[in-house]
Amino acid sequence: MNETEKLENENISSAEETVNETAGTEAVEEVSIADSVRALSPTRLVIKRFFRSKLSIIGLIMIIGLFLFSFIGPIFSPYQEGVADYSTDRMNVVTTKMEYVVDGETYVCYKVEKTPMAVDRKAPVSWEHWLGTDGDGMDVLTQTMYGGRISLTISFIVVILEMLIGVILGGLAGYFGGWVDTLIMRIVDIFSCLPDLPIMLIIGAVLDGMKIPARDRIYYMMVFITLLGWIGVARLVRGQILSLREQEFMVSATARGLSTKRKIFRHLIPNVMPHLIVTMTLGLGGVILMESTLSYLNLGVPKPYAAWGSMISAVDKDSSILQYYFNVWGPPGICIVLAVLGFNFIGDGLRDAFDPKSRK
Amino acid sequence: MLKYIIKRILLSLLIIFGVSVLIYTLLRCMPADYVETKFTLNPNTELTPERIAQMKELYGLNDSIIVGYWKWFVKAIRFDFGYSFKYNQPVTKVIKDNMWMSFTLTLLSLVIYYPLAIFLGIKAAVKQYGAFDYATTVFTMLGISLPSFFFSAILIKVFAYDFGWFDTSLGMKTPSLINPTPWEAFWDKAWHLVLPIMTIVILSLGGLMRRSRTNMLEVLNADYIRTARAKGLSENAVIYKHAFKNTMIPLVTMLAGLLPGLFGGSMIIEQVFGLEGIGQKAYAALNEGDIPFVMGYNMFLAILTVLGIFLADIMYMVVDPRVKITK
Repeated sequence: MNETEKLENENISSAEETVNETAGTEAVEEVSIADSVRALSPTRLVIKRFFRSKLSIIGLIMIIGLFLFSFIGPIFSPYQEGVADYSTDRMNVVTTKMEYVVDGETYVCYKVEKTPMAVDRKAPVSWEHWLGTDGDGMDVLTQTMYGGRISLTISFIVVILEMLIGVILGGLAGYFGGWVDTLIMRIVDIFSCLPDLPIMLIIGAVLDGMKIPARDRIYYMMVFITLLGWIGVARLVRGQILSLREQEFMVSATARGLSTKRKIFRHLIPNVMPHLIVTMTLGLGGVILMESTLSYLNLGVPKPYAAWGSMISAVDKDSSILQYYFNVWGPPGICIVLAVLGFNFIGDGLRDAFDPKSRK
Repeated sequence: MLKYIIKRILLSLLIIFGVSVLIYTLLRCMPADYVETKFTLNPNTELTPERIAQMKELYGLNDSIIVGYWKWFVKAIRFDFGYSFKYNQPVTKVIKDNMWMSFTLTLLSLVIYYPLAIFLGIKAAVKQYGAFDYATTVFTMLGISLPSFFFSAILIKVFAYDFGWFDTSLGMKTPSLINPTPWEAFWDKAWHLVLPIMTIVILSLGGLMRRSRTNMLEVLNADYIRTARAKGLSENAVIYKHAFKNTMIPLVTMLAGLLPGLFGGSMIIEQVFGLEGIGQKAYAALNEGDIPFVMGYNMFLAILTVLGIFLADIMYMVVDPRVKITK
């Protein structure tokens, strides 16, 4: 495979040489060749390479699908988030076994009592409830849609915040070096030794005590997920800038007397961008996993509202749900997997697209 | 070399100090302290406010954050992490007693998934873009994307409830097992570890396998591999003798980085399966505001992390003689 590629490349380059030779003699020819060759900008090339990979297209479809599902889906749902379904004609059936001993013989009777159900709990999959209802009588499909809103929104906000902090601090450390670098990198070292989960558990308890409205808590948690997560970006940006700083184009930028601001924002940041975008895309999946773990431990969105993680935590409270009602905890779990998988596929696709050499 | 090591140790001490300050401050910001959750929230309590104040004094919860931290710090540098509120034992003892459960669990999983991941990664790399390669890629991606609590729930449902191969009650013992012989008790315990180990193995396999595959592909492009092939060595000799050694370099160094996970346990998996490891103890302690234990546990993790990074660097030098210290 590599061999043939090389051969092709050689063919192309030799063809170019001949074109160049002829171009000098016949100016008319040159114009026609330039017209016939479609010039692609680097961005277009990246996009083209991205769509060539099957996995990245699958990932994109998965993510777009999930976005439609959670943001458009609820419009078509007859149920609301966090509201139990009270309209049901299902019955509670209680069977009592009774034994009578008459004339030495035992008779077994069963008393069957039917009472109308107030709330449509643990309903099976049906036309009314496509994925049934959970232990509190809420429509699983609708809850899953709303849970998706939380996970997807949060993952994007966290990743963008991480990127901002990471680029600024990592950029400062890499560009200026010296004591700035030492200070920032020591902070990074300390943060990287903080165990994520215990810290988030403590923060969850602290937020509880600060009497923060339960609905808003997840947004505060988000800030703290960011505070724990920016270190990776800072390290990446710093490393990139350290190596870029020494390259010829930066020497030339300095020689031309460009301002520091221009050097950073026009020369360094665009060069870091490809790596950054790939890392961030892969990071989106990580944030979703973190968020769902927190919701699973009941540190995220509070109960009547939905989050994928907290929907799965129903399994812990009621083992019959774990045993018999996969339709309650399966769908949110599958959604988490799809979201993380989708972002990973897109991230991998982007990496290959940005840098075809790294394709391994 | 000596200068480098001293520098690293000083840096590690700084990191551990920073971590302890951060965690202590956070812990003291927790709203309900141990005395409150334990005594005041209990409806049967007959404690007078004075008694509660006394209790708080006793537990050292009346000090300001700075004074409290100083008291903790003075003891901690002598490796005395105080008494756990919840477990009524010295923190070091609780950690020591519960560490081995987590250690066994993680070590057994490690012994399974490490060689397996390396082997599968190499197989995938050798047949790049083959069916096996695609299958492993998708499989590893799935492993990375599965949340541990969801995957363990699936395993419990399928293997414990549907197939009935495993005990469905939480914990390490089958309740119906009465007066077991030591041998039976041992097997029972081992059987209870199968599902947790399976969870860890499948979830950890993916990341490592991808790394092993990437390394192998890099090595396979090296000149000396071409030379080995040109010499007419068999493909097996090329891959398992020449390439294999070099793919091992980053993987061996990664082992040192697994140190905190090895002893620190995993909160979620221990919680889900009801294993009495250190992760579960820490989770319970966190929920009740047991400051000494949580501090001790987090310090334990931080020290292991720092140690892990340090060991990884040293291992790198040991395994790969080309790496030299520049600083």
